[in-house]
Amino acid sequence: MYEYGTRPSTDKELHVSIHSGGQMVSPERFMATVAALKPDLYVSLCDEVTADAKPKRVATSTKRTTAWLESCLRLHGAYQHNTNQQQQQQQQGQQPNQDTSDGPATEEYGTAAQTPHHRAPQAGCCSSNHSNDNSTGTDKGDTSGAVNGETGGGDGDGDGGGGGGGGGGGGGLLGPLSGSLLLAALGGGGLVAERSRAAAAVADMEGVGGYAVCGLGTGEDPALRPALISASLEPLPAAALEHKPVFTPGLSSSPEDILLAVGEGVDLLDCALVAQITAGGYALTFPLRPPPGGPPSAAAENTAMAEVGTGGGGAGGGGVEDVPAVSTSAAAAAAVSVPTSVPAAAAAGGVSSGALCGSSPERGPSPDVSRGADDTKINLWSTSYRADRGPLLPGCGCFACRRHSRAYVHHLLNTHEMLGDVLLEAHNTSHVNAFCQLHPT
Amino acid sequence: MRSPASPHARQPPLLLFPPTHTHSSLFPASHSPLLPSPPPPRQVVAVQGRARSSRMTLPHFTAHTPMFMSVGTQGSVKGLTTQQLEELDCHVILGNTYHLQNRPGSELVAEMGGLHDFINWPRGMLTDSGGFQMVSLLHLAEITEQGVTFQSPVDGSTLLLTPEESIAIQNRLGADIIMALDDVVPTTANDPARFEEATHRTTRWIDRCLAAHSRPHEQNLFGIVQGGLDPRLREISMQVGSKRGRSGVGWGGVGWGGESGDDFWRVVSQCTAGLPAGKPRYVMGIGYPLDIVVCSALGADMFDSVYPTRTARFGVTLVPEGTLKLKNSIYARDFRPLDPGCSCMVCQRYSRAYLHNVVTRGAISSAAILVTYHNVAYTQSLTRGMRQAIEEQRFPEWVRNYLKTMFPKGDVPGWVRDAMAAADVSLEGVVAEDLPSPPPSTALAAAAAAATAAAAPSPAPPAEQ
Repeated sequence: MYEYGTRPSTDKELHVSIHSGGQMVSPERFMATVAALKPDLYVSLCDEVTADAKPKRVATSTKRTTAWLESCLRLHGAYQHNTNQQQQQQQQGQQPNQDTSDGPATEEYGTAAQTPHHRAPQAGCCSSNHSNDNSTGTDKGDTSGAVNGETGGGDGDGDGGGGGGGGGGGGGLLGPLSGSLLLAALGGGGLVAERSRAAAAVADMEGVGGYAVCGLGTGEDPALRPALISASLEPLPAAALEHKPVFTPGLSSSPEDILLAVGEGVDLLDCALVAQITAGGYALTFPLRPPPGGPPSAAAENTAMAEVGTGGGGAGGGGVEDVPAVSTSAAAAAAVSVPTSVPAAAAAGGVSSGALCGSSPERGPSPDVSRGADDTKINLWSTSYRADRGPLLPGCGCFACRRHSRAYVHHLLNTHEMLGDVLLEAHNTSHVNAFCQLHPT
Repeated sequence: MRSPASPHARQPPLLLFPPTHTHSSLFPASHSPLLPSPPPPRQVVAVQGRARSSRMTLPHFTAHTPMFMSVGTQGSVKGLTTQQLEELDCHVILGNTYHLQNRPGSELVAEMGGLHDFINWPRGMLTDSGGFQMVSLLHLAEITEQGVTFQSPVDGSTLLLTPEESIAIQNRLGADIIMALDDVVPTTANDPARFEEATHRTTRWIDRCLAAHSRPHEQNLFGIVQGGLDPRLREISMQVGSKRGRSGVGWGGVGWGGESGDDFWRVVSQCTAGLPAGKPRYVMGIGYPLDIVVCSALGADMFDSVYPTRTARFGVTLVPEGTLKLKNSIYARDFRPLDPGCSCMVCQRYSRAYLHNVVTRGAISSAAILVTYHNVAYTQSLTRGMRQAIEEQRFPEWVRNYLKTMFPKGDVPGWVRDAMAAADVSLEGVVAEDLPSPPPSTALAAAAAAATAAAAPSPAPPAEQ
């Protein structure tokens, strides 16, 4: 959330840059958009600052974010029952259920019955609470609450045939955000005291469904990160943290980042890692579990790093390649509680524990710079894979590893074929997912 | 492939793919020239008019025809996994000899167990000869009796593709069907002497291809008929070609958007009429659904084109009514699936509005992939529909339905009407009555009409000048 552009944010509105240009977004406009999107979780409107923001700026952002959170909470409550149209009518002081549209839209095709049926509702999700917001047809009139003039929840109902909750809108029935969780944005930049203050302001608010520790991954010293996260979470009621999810956007550009955050109590991370890795032509290979006997000592680790890869799996060998243990920082290793024994065979996605554990006695090959690899990933652009019939990562049960070879992926990258990225992304996504799923609770 | 000497020095072209020990040790040549390549076992399941539905047993798969083959030029049908291609019930896909020899190289592919294993495609595979690149890269190519000299678009080096080398590469790639190298001249070229030369050279080259073919029992070698739009040359090409033992016959040079619909169908008709019924007939480079239907009605069996997959990447969707150009804003609020009658994954899960949104965002791969997936599904459903209709002896009705959907006002193009008449498919109830059937557009076409009338079972339209 970098503040360039001609109009900076104000106390009333956040300035955002999107593909169509700059926009000013008030809490009302924000919430109308959220209501149209009907997410399962969303973060409240946040005046996010970077970690190097000056104290005065940070204080302003805390003030705004807290005020906007209150507005969002209020509107969140309203959207439990009201549709977007009703919400706008109420804001404009009109009678509820008054039809302000110009009649049915002529440019819209398809009904809920014709719309392709989306994935089945997930267990425990709020999807069963989604209503059919077809109260007064499409709203082509005043849509000041919505971004870019898109209409609110009335049209484009993509819920397929779900008839639950009765038809139409009207007071007392389920609104677009019934069942959605509002994650309260917790700011404070790179200042521990500000983070505490921001969190304390949220601690007693009602209706908060979870928390979002915003503004990290914007240039702060990674060593300070645990303290910053901790400062954002410590003032919150312990009972709330027991049951409510904590989300940290922007904090997952490496597996170490993920471990660190989870160690501090974070539950949800958005994962830029997969896209970045894939774009570079890499396949993730870091082990999903530490080797038996606990994390390596620093000394042993340094020895391992110094060894040039003499172990198995040379170029084009096609056999099982030994995967080096993940080199976590000492702090992260201390923060994570690691089992000393390898868990029984992981059920997740056919992953075999041996090859992915770094548990083999020989610890090699170490990061092989000549092949563009390091201890977490290999680079499929390397010509050493030209004739390698083995999978991206031996032992991995993902689609790409089950069905295709390194040689083929290397060829696809060389010829700039889309399928290369498709296969790498499938593998990398599967690998990160398995990493999180295998993590001890 | 880079020339070791200075690229500026005048020197004979570097042989692109000199015969290597790898080749001869893998596939020892042990037969005499002109030994016939046996046609793939083929069972004609049903015939109706000139259309036929058949099963062609290839080493890797039994393919059903009429069939449309998606093109995986560089070892990948762009954006789709081989598992998706199987889901979509593709029977045969194409690989391109020229491009695969460039990258990753046919020796490497052979090392990997052949193209099937390399890309993990268990069904049928066809490789072309590399001849088409001659035309598409024409300003960089020089054609002699020896072969085709290219300037590599990758690094500018000079390469030579001979019939022998084309076959050697294809032997290494290991496809079920391989194509003889032909001397391709685009039909729009206005040089009768060139067409004549190409016709005869293609014949001489098929002989060299047959002689060089080292895996006649594992790979079916198809010949190619040339002749441009001149029925006389086509006739010659077919006659001399039929004396060779080809597994099947393809013909190209049509459908690239150069010739008129009239010229197009007459060439196709002449070829299907003049080629033996027992061998598969392959019209190369045909991808418009309407063209596929017309050619199938005239008795063709196999088609390939990049059109369905390429046009998908521009957001153009194939539907029974024609095409949807998804970038058009009329789809912004159209929540129907691409084709309400299609049961493919994309039509089950996504709406036109969603895909419009993704397609207009710029180069986002998922849009290309989703529309590609549907377009391939569409071509497979099209050919499956035709096969079923032929087998159930209701093919003319199927065609009428198809044309009614595509031309609801009855404005079926003249060339389609003429072609269907030649195919003995009545278009009653489809065509608007007040539109006259136009005369053939060129003298060549008129001559072709006469030739077709002699060969075809049904009367051809009158040849007016």
